[in-house]
Amino acid sequence: MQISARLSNRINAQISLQPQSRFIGVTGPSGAGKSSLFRALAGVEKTAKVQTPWTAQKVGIVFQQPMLFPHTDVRGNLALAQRHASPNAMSIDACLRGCYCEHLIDKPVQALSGGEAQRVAIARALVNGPDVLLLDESLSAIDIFTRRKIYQFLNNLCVSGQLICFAISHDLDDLALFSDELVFIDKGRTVHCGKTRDVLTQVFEKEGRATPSSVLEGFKVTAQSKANDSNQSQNAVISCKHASETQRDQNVLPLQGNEQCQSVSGIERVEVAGQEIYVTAESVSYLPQQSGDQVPVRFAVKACDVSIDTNIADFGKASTISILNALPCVISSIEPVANPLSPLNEPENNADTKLTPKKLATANSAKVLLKLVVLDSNQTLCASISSISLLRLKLDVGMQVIARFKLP
Amino acid sequence: MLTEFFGASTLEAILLTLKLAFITSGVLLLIALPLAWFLAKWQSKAKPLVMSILALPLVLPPTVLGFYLLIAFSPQSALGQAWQSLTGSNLAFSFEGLVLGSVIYSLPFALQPLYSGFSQLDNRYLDVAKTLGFSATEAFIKIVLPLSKAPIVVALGLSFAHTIGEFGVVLMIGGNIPGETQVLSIALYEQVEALEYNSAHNLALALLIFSFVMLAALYRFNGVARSDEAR
Repeated sequence: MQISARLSNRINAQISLQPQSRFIGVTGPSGAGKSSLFRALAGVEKTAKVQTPWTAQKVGIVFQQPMLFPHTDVRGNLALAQRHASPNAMSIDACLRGCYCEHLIDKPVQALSGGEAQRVAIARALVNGPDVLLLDESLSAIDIFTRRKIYQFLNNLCVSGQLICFAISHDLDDLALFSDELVFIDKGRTVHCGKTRDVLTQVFEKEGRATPSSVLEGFKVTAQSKANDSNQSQNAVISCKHASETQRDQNVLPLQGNEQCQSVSGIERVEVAGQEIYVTAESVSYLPQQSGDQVPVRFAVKACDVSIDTNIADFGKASTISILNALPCVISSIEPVANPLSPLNEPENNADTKLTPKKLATANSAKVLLKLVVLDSNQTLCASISSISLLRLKLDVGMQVIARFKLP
Repeated sequence: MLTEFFGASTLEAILLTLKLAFITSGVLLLIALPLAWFLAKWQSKAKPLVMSILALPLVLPPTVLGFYLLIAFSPQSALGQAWQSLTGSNLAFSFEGLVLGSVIYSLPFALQPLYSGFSQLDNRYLDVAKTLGFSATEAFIKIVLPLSKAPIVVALGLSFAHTIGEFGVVLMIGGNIPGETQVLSIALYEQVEALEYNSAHNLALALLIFSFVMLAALYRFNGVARSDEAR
């Protein structure tokens, strides 16, 4: 999917996306041209030169300011949107339910809070039945739980093929969770574009942030799949390729006692690289089902929520700590986290790739960022730990560790 | 009762004035709505010039405007001749001429509130309407007009009140023909000339109260509409 948009002195963006991508996140600094790009794509910038693959399709846009028509109430706004709705557009009730604003139907627009107005604005856009929906920070005033549920609803529409959604947000956790691909815009141009996890890594490296989010994909553990896999998982073995001699010979059971397997309301279980991970329901994003009964899902883990445990022999026996999730990993890189307040820690100072753990710990950086490759998968996980822990645990590239993290 | 209070000829002038004001404000709304919308969206170097020409009646002495209109309406002018060939009657010193003169004279009073209202309207409402599938005309009727209720009412009210109170232009192009061109202000002038102060008092007081009530209603409406928008 090739998209190009040009608007004199403001944007000149070329975006290349995979044809199967249905939910595309867009981020970038303020004033980068994201909103101008969306206005151009929506066809409301007369002077813009735009090329999109959806020329004959209906494009809807929702601004950060909800722009509900104030001369009528919520019902009136939805009725106006329905006048020229596509034949396959969803019903008003379905849109209101999906955007959690059924109770607002008879309210005057002036009586709505900022978050409520944003929810109604998204419902209004959906009532019109767009093929492509552009969300310009349209959920910024909505509380995180409702926001995640609405993103989930929109993502389900995307997965079912009813919608292609482009969403601008500064919340990288939201984008990490729901975007198939991510576009980073700066100074009106596309700086990064591609798979969400790759772009996130590039963005975090560029920004020097201490707490990037990692995207992990797996399959939802259902009662059916659980029954099929119960024998296998009880006998699962983790190879300890870089462990010490005594650890190497130990076969470790994953954290799967009967008590943990019981389903808990609001918590989903996701199988990642053979391990069962617990994730809150609102933090799970569903992906298109390829084949079979397995339901592919995605979730994001913040680097600051990941702890490193070097005692890999106790992988399945960590019953004295509250952290539920554990993944066996290998450290692939260790980078100092730039301190934006320190002039000594500018990016060029960190260009030395041969930094030893000791050098890293003394490189005027309180924290270091570990990149971890999850064993038996090509997925990566970031962990942000203190320089003190780096030295104390004698962590080094190639070492096998357990990444433990609370449920996202 | 009204005939006793004002007298038959004055009541005739009142009815003629109301008729003139209703027709003028109706015609003005039809002209000013599309004109103000066009001007609000129009970007050109010539715009200040056009705006100045349209606002001229605000500052021009009514007699100056009346004088030029009288020349334009005369049977010797192209407009006067065209009117005569179409209707068989003179444009000058006729009710139709009075309507045309009033429309020109009161145009800025209808145009300015509408232009100001349309200029302040957030264009993103139209962007949303466009993406919802509305044509430009449909968006104007369904979105712009309801959102511009306050400027429309103010434009109607001001042009109505201004037409009720006009004197100089009417005197120049309409003269003082009872039942045809004698409006309230002319009738009042005639009563003062004839030293009929009691009748003049009644008429002046009625005009004063009418103008005050009209303006108070307009300010009240405008205030309510603005607080509704701000909420």
